[in-house]
Amino acid sequence: MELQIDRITKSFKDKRAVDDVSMTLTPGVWGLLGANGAGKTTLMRMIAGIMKPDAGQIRYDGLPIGTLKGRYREIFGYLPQEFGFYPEFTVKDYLEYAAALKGLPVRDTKRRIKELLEMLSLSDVYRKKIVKLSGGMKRRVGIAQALLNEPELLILDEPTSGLDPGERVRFRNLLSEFAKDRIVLISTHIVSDVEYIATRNAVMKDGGLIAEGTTEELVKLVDGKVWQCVIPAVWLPEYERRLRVVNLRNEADGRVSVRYLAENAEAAMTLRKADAGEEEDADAAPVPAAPRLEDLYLWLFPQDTAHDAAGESRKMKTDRPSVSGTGYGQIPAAKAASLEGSSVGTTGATVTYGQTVSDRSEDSASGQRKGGGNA
Amino acid sequence: MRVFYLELKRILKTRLTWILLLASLAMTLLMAWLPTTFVEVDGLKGLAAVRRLKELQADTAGEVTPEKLQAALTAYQQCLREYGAETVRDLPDGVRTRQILPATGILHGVNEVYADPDTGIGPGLANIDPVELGDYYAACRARLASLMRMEQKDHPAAQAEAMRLYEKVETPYHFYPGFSTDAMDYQILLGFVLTLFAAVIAAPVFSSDYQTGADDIQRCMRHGRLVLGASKTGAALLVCGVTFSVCMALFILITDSLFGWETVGTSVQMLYSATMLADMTVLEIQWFTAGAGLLSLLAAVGLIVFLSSRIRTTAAALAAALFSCVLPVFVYFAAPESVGLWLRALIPSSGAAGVQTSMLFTMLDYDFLNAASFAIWLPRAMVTATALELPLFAAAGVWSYVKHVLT
Repeated sequence: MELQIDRITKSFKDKRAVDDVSMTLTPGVWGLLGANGAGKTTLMRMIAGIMKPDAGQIRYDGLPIGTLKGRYREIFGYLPQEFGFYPEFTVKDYLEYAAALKGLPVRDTKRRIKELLEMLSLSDVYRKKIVKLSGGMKRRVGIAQALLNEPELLILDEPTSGLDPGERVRFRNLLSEFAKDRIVLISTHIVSDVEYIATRNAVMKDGGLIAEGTTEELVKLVDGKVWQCVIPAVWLPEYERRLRVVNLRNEADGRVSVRYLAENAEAAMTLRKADAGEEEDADAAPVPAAPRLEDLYLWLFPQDTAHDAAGESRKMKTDRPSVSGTGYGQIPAAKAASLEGSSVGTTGATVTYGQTVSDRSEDSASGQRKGGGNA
Repeated sequence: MRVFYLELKRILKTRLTWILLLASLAMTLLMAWLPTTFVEVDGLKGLAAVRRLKELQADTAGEVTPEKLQAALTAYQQCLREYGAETVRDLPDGVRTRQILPATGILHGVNEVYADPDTGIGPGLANIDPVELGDYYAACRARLASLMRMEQKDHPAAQAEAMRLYEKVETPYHFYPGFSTDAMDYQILLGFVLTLFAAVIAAPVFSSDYQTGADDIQRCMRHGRLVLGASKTGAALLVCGVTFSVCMALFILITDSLFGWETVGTSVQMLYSATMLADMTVLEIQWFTAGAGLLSLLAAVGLIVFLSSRIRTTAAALAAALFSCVLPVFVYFAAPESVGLWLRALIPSSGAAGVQTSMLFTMLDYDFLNAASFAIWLPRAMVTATALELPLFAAAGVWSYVKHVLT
């Protein structure tokens, strides 16, 4: 079982959305990473057969999907970024409708819907109109329809947007189990969604495929480029100005733990000396940190730090009580003020991308791999 | 069939559909009742007036024989002479009701039949010699021939075709007093309203799915293309068709019950032009208008579904759908006559939603599509065109939906 994407290209007016992409998807969970506008959705739409490539071919088990037609759709499950549904439909109506369209026999429909409702914690809202459900529940209904026919090939475009941390963990576990002997492709820019479950990852940038491999293989690309140190909070503005800070956390005694990306330790060393003067500060010495997929993502998409912070209005959260009353823990008031709103982007610094503190805690609780130096 | 059933269920679950269905029913009841309120006889109004009219004209009911016509005209003229009146307007109200009204029903069309063959101007009933009515139906044929010479001057084929059609009209005509042509006008108006409602139901069939993104998911499913496209089209046609049929049937049943079932045996020539080309009674033309309207409505829905498959937003699809419904009216007023006639035949909604271009009003007229030595009566062309357009547009809609890709 394999899906071959062979030199696919797609352009819109003057923009090349997907540029000569080739890859072969084999059973397992595949993470498709990339910033907004990287071409992920366009690629997925072409795999789904709802958009025609300008050039190239997509083959399933050696046969072009265009010639497989209904046979391809029979083994296919798809959840697009925008989950469209009929406003008059209840969850029950929608899943029955989708089951009929997927050609599920009537006798199997009820059983399968029941399984999915339990699996996705939707049993209580079975008879409610979808339009009245929360964003997360709507998303789960979308996931349920994609899984109805137990597809061999499952394409999910931003499936976890709108899901709360608990739902995301359950969803990841569900997918891991589901992906045995199946191809599952998930596009996301929430790196943690695929970090732990993806068999392989593909990274897209400006329409092209720039990296492909297992999580372990990919994070090697940023081996030696992830650093951490604990510095006095007053040094922070300068660090943020000069370095690509990916995470920071308040520590005791007015210090801040900083995780950043740099080609080597020299830049930070220089900075430390400049700020500390003659004063020695052993904690401020940068030490290498174990790289994570997120580090790779931010290394590859440096512009995303500013974009993400401004666009999604994420604010830094700490698990410590605020001292200054700003909500930003022990960060100096001036800095806290600058972090309000979207000023994170202006300093070039950021907080934990794609994960809130609660995500991190949840990852720890679930005993999954955790990047070094973050907590 | 399961997809079709679920699609049908989906359409019938939408609030808008129910609102439109209930509105259709309400409009049907209202429009069936309203025409009775317009009848006024002898100081009476509504159904009482209809009953009074039937009493007054009871003696003339049945076959319209030359003898009956002569007797009615003689009585009419005697009354005028007796009161020294030149026209009926000069008569006292009571006299007009008791002596003139009994004759006017059967004398409908007499002055038209005896119109000047060159000018087409009809004489007053007071100026026609009752003896001439002895050969009334021959005069009808002669009148049609002269009319067609005026109407279709350069088209002898059309003139000949009109005469052939009229040869099939059953004579003597039949007349059963009490029916009002207002009821026919309201049937046309109801057809127009129902077609607009159908347009609102059919316009979002595909475009709504494009707009919401539901289409992206559905067309990735096994039956999400041809089967779904055909089911959606079929369900829209069925809902709109059944609604139209039920409302029209209800309208006819109520109307005919109110005016009286005996009245609908009247020949259409006794209500409209005496030389009308359709060989039908009122009841027959009611059902024919409804049937042709249904065909026109279904063809219009087919066109709207096709438009919906090509348009990505519901609002634009609805605008296009409504425009397609009122297009015949624009064509009727704005297009040059020969081009306008061809367009009226080709635009699917003409027969149901056109009002002025409706099947009934087209049948009252003497319009022909002329091409070289060939001529076809416009109502026939409209029915033929819609019968061909219905499967054509429906198939085009399904095909267009199946082939739809994101751009």
